[in-house]
Amino acid sequence: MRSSEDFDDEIRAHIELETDRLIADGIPAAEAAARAKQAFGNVTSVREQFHESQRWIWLSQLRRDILFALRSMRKQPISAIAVVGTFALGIGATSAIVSVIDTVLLRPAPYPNGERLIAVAETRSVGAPGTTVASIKLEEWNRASKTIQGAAGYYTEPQSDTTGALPEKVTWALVTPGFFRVLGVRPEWGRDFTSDEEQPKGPSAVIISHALWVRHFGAAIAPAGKTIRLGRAAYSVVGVLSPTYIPPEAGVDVWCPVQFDGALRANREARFFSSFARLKPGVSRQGAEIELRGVFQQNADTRFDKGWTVTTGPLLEAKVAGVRRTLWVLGGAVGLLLLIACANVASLLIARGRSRQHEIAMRVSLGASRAQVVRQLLTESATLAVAGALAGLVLAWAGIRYFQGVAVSLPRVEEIRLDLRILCFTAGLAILTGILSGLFPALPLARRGERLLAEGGRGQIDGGSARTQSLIATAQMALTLVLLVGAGLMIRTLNNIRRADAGFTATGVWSLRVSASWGETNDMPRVARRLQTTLDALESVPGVDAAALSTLLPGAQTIAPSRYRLTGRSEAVTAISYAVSRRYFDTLRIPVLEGSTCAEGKSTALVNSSFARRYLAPGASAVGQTLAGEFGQNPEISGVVADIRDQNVARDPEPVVYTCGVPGYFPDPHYLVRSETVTPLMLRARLRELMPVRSVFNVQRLGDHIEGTSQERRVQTLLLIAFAGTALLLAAIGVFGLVSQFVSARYREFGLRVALGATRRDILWRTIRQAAWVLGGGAVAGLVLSMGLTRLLAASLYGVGVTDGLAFGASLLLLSGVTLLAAVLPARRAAAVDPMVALRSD
Amino acid sequence: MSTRVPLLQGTLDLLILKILIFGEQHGQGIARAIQAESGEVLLVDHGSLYPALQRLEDRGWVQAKWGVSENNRKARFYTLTAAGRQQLHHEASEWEKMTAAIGRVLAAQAKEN
Repeated sequence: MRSSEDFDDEIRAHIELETDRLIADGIPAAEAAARAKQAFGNVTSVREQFHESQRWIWLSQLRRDILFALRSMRKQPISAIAVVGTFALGIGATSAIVSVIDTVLLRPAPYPNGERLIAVAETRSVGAPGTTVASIKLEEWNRASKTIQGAAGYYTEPQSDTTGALPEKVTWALVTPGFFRVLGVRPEWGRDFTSDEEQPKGPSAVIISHALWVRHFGAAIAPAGKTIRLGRAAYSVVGVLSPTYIPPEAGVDVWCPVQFDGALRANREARFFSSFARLKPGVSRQGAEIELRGVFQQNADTRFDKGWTVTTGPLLEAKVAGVRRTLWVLGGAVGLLLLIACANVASLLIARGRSRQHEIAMRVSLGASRAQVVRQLLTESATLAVAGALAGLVLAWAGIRYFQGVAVSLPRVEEIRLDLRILCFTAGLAILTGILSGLFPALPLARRGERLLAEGGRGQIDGGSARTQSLIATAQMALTLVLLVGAGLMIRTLNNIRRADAGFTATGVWSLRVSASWGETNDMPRVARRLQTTLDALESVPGVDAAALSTLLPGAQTIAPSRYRLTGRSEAVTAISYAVSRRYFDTLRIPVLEGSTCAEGKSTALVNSSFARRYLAPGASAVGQTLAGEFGQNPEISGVVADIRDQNVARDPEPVVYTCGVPGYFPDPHYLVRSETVTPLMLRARLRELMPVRSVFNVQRLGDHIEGTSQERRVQTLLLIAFAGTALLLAAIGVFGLVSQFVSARYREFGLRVALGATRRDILWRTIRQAAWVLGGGAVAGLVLSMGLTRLLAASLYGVGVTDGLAFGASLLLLSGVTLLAAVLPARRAAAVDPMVALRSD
Repeated sequence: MSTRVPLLQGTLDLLILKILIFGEQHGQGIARAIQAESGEVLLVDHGSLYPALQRLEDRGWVQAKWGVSENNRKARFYTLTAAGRQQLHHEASEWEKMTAAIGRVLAAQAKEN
């Protein structure tokens, strides 16, 4: 590339040659030089034309513009930091939350062509949709269906991995034939199960997770021939799954074919397989559901299948249904935050631009072309926007990591990744806002051109942009109030939940489980004996006051109620069914209100007072009545216990039946131990003496577990508070900018007023009034908006109405306080105006 | 001097290329040659010559190197490249077509009058 020096040399040479030539024509030397120069014309303009023609010119201009932008940022560092920070918060928070929503709620299951996988379940004609099927039905569908490529199912059990020196608890999934083929997953190393291995009495084989492989055999994938021991049996490892494989149910490490023998395989009531099917291409889920239902009805046996039907749903529906509302609420909140952030950026950039109108006018009159000024403004706002977007990227990434940390129980949480498309979208939106608002100061330039210098920069307020800024600030106020009210309602809810009386004492109770297999239920009396021995062993540990077991842990997930018949009542009643050992009520300190607790050696049951209230005539006693259950037990009701709010205090108690006794059909119940002094190690040691091949797992304080059940609501509250706090900060910055702007623009006027006798208080009031108008307008709009929007929160609230006065009042107060504080800072500067300085400032 | 006319927009490139077909020349020489060859009718703004030369060089139609003029002055000498030669033919024929067309239009108007 040719240098400008070279070009200058050529021009000089030309003038010399021309001068020589003129002298040769007989013109005196002095005049010849002048005429040569004259003939050449404007050297500078020619030089500029050369310069412009150079192709790298735009790059160097860009570099210059960016350097200029950085310099001007340094001149107004606070506003630059505010803009970049606002960009970062808006882009970061929105990208993080939208990535979560996209992963958890919108993306198909993480398998090849996952959108063609559907969940299949047997459902009772009445009541909630079921979640499982009996394996014989899967066989029937695989034989007869034309709409699906295949159906498979699994159930999971805790298992004791005894490969190492100490037993380790693992969860294994027992899978029906074709499990991995239907999912579309192949082991990363090794092979899928052979059909031999999938048959009863076939060779033993397991496929294990990458994590378990690494734990046992190190990272290097070795050839076949490895075995692992589970319980008392050895299994050869035929395949290892990829580390990126995500099982349909989290926490599973071992997959093993079920190998049911004839009776169990043909059992039409063995409905415990979580099942799914892969649709053939082009088949709709509804179409497949109708066909599967048809096949089901053809093969139905009235003895076992009466009252059952088939339902389907998206594969992960059961997993994610519970969090859908929470996530959409958060998504809405973060959307509001993004709007506020965009408004803030617009407002800040407009203010920046306005304070620079004088500079711009000056540059125009010094010969900068309009294109140059616009390019400069664009570069500046784009530089800010890009810096903000980069910071937003970091924030989004950190936000997702944080979210994965706090929302551990969120379904599909391990799949969440920062989605670049979402990041690009939010960043694009924010950057567009930034660039458009960055151009704002160029508008009067286009309108009024060079007259700007005459009138501009002297604090002549451009009415249009001041109004725009006020409107933006008002909208910000309104949206911030909505977020504050939402967060306030959630805080009130959490408080109510914390204060609510759960009706039992979870503190001082340890809960634990012991690995066991459903296969043991072929000898139920033996299971019952083992459970009793375990309970006795736990009670024998020094310091233990009471021990009990239950088929359900307090604070369990929702489960389908069972049906009972009460003596003297024609229609069936439904109640959640617990099987509990004799000292359950002692252990949890649930008061027995009427009758007596479980009696030894007698088939008895207790009901809670909700049950008594709902199903018995007023005044009638439940004690002494007989309950006819579905499974052939007919216990007598020996007492009534108080309701407990164990399943989420926010929910009203439901009727419950507690059947007394150690359940031989339930090999791995939850054990509960009340003791102030015992340590988990003492409990583990005692159980290890008794049964060395079983592993003890999920040892936890019951209080922590119960606390964990409201975790989702806590995370939601925490995020809402964070969003509302951010919004408040942004709104404060917006008001601060607005009022500062107002003060700068009227500085001279205030000086004049003070000189003419206005008091400082007049000036202060005049300034704050500016913010008060914005606050008033924003508050009214925000209250109306909140009334409408908090309705969406209703399902998450407890003990507080959607128009709770305290939440609304406190939010309004907080917003007003912060707004006025943000206004007072610049207003004090106005009030402190020195008339002499202000009037001389030109 | 009043007989001189300024160059038509866009014709400077064509004239430079044409002058260079006679051999290498520096900028001042090109300007002088255009004026001389046109019978002192065409007025070349010396200033606009150099951006034009730079443009032609950027397009690869002329090459330049520093040398010494006949009166021992340092000067930048331009020569026509093969591409430049082709461009000259192209532009010259375009020009002829255009002047002929304009001539026809003007002649038609003359008939009407």
